[in-house]
Amino acid sequence: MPTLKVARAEAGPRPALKPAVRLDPFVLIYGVAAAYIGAFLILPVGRILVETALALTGSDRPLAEGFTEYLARITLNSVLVASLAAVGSVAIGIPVAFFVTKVPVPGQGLFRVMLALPLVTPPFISGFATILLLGRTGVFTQLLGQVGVPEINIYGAPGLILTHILHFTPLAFLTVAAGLQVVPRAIEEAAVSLGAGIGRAVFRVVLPYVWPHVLMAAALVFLASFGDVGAPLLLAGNFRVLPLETYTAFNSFQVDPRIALILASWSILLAFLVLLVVRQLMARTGIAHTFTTQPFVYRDRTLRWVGFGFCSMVTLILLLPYVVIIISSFGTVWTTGILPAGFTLRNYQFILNNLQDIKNSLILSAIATPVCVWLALSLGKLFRDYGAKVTWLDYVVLLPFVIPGVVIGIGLVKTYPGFQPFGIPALLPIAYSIRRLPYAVRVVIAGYSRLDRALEEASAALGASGWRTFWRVTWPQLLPAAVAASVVAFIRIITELGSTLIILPPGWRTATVAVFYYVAEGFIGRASAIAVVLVVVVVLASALANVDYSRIARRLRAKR
Amino acid sequence: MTAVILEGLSKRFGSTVAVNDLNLTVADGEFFTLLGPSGCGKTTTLRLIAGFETPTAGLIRFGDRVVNELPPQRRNVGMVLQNYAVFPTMTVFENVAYGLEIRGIRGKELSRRVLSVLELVGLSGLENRRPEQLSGGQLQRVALARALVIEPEILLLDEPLSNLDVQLRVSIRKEIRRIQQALRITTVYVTHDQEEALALSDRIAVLNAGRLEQVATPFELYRAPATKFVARFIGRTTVLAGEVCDAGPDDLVAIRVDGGLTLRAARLRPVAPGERVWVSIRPEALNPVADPAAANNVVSGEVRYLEFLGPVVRGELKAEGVAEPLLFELGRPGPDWPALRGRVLHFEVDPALVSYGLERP
Ligand SMILES: Nc1ncnc2c1ncn2[C@@H]1O[C@H](COP(=O)(O)OP(=O)(O)OP(=O)(O)O)[C@@H](O)[C@H]1O
Ligand SMILES: [Mg+2]
Repeated sequence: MPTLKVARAEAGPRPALKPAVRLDPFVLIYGVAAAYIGAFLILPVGRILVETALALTGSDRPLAEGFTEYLARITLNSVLVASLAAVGSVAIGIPVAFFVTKVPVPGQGLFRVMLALPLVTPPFISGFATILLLGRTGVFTQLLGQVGVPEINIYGAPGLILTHILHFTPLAFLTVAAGLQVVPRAIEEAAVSLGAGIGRAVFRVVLPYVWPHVLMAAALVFLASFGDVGAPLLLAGNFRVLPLETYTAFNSFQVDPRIALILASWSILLAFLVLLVVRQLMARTGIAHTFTTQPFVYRDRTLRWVGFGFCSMVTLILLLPYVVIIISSFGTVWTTGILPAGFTLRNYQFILNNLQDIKNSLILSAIATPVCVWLALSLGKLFRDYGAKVTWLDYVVLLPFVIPGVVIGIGLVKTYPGFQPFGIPALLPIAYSIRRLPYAVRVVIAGYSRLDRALEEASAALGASGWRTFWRVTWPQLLPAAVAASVVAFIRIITELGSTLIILPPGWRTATVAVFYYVAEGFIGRASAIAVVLVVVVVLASALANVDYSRIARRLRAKR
Repeated sequence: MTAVILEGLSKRFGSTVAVNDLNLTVADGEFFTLLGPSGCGKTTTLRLIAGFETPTAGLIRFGDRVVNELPPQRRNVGMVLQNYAVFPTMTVFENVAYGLEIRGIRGKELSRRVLSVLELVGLSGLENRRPEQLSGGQLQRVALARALVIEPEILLLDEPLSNLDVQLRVSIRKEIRRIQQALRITTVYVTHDQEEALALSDRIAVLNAGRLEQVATPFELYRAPATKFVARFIGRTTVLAGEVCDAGPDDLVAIRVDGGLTLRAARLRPVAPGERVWVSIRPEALNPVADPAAANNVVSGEVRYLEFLGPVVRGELKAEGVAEPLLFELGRPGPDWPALRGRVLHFEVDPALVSYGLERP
């Protein structure tokens, strides 16, 4: 047998190892990423705070009378809407999550897919649908009117809360379902074998276990609702909420310019507060996500069908808005009757002839997405390699998630007024890449956490530099996560509204903004059509995200 | 090749002291095992040698070079881990070739060396398989081949067999020993399985809570454990407390164990009469005798507990003058072995299989 001894003799002197780079070769990349975040997140947010402080201390002119009461009122309004939206969404989300994960309701897979739709579309689409359904000339308003129910005014708090519940229930559902998915089988088996009925098992064992997830779901819905400016813009009427007031104060020339600053700073301070809570919850819900087990299922016929009925109803209600928008997009005028007066393709024709909005959206997303994913990959690696030493970075990365888009937009515009290199309104893609960073980072970190660190160490022990280890060992395994992060980032970016409204440079109207213009000008059909196009783009993209890339990659490699 | 010398090596993580003032010399070409219970610092020691952890204190030397400052990439060690860490995106061949590519070896030379190592570990013909198409034992061999192909000065193995089933574990450990002998490569092997350690090693270091308990050959470790911990950890034994009553001029030491009985043990280390000691009595030290009057160093007592293990029955003896039950074994049990329960038996104790040491204050 030819042993290694022989090989060694023939091999001659051992080739010298290349000298290793002592400095982490990624330092430069981390540096650029940090500089980007510093320049476009920390600096603008800091600037708002500082400017506010200067404006308040530097001027003797008193603020408009009753400003404090006004501030308190809109804050309370926002908190009220966000809290009720959170409670409502979680109240509906928990049973749906339970039925879909713990009781094999018939068609559970289909429910999961259909309930994901509101997740990828922006809230103002739901707001728009609420108007079509329940507005002054809405379908339901008319149906109810025919049986004598007086018109309900949905402009204001009720419409807003309803819209947000409709829109954010899937977010609550998915968050709770993720928790239910990882409840260890054994504890439920133990509960049931000790003779606990289903109800007792659920309330005494399961719910306490997923309590952090429930809180997280509530916190996520609260944040999303609190920071949303799109639905209020369409629906709030005279009911004033914080992000919308910030937006109008910033855009109005009559209002004291200090007001917008104060409102923005106030949003930032509130965001910091929520951030502390969310960070705690993240730590408690994050660990569980790393392993998946086959969840315990409750086999019970009645429960199966009750669950099926409930899920069907919820799905139907949550998807109704999209049905209405699709019908409306093919309609002429739709002010009387349960269907439009006539059907036409004119709305789509019009959009085909005026593609600029959609083009703008695609161009800006195409610029912002790679930047966002690159940032996420760099930060993900930084977390992985120096996790314990950079916990503060956690907060920084979560910041754009809790600060309303309007506020980030204001910060950027104030810090970099008129920044348009090569005619590109760079602030928009910059705002997008920063705002949607938390989503991309989440996916990337999940990808990194599936990588075994021992592989990287094995590579280093074999003499590979950090750079080579990354490209040969880490990156090939990270690729699926990078693709998924790109899709998620793209979906979030193309539906962004808050910072777009603030920054919006002339000639760069995006598809999201176009919906508002058409609604405001009364072109409901056109607004619907462009909303449908947006939804289709987003659904296609998320279908791409659900493809199993690691399998394809494996197959391609096998072929090679 | 290279000796590995650890001088006063310590590593703490926050308040945990994982490795505590370790002094060891692994000789050139030696198969050296770090053995100890879970959490005693074996893995940490290995990672210190590999360069993945930096010592809190102490020196690590390869031969006469201090390597403390050397990054893992430049230590030229081969590492094999419990979970294999085979690169999932590369074939068997690519996995093994990886380390050679880094060293600038290409083409014919590269494939010749890869194929020769694959043959050495018994994986010929599987070059183009992907890791997901291999069994656990084959993955382990890939990891071994990948570590060996770079002709490391030192081979480090961290519980490489613990994810395999018992039969595979025994056959692969023979392979590892054979390859190590063929290459005469300095090897540090980590395990918590004492049988594996005894079977494989030239010498074994027993660790306990980050500290070194004893370094010795497997035989010495078994026959002459330096501490109570080692006596308990290696093999089966009964550990009693007692007092030296005669340190005698001859090669036997007489110890009165708690309970009153006096036993003789072969002289291992100097003790003085009156000193408190622990005494370890291996079950095979007890040889059954029919006539206690005709034998020396006898224990007698009632069989309290008995279990059938195939080649032997093992039991506990409630011996007169001994506070604790004594473990004993009887070879080639017959079908009537249960009848021994409750019987009074007499045993002659072989002093060579009794060890002792001073109780730590
Ligand atoms: N990175 C780390 N951070 C903090 N503590 C650590 C770290 N690595 C190891 N420890 C601690 O150091 C001690 C020794 O750990 P080590 O992994 O070396 O044990 P081990 O002997 O290999 O155990 P096992 O047989 O379970 O693998 C343990 O208490 C462990 O919790
Ligand atoms: Mg270990």
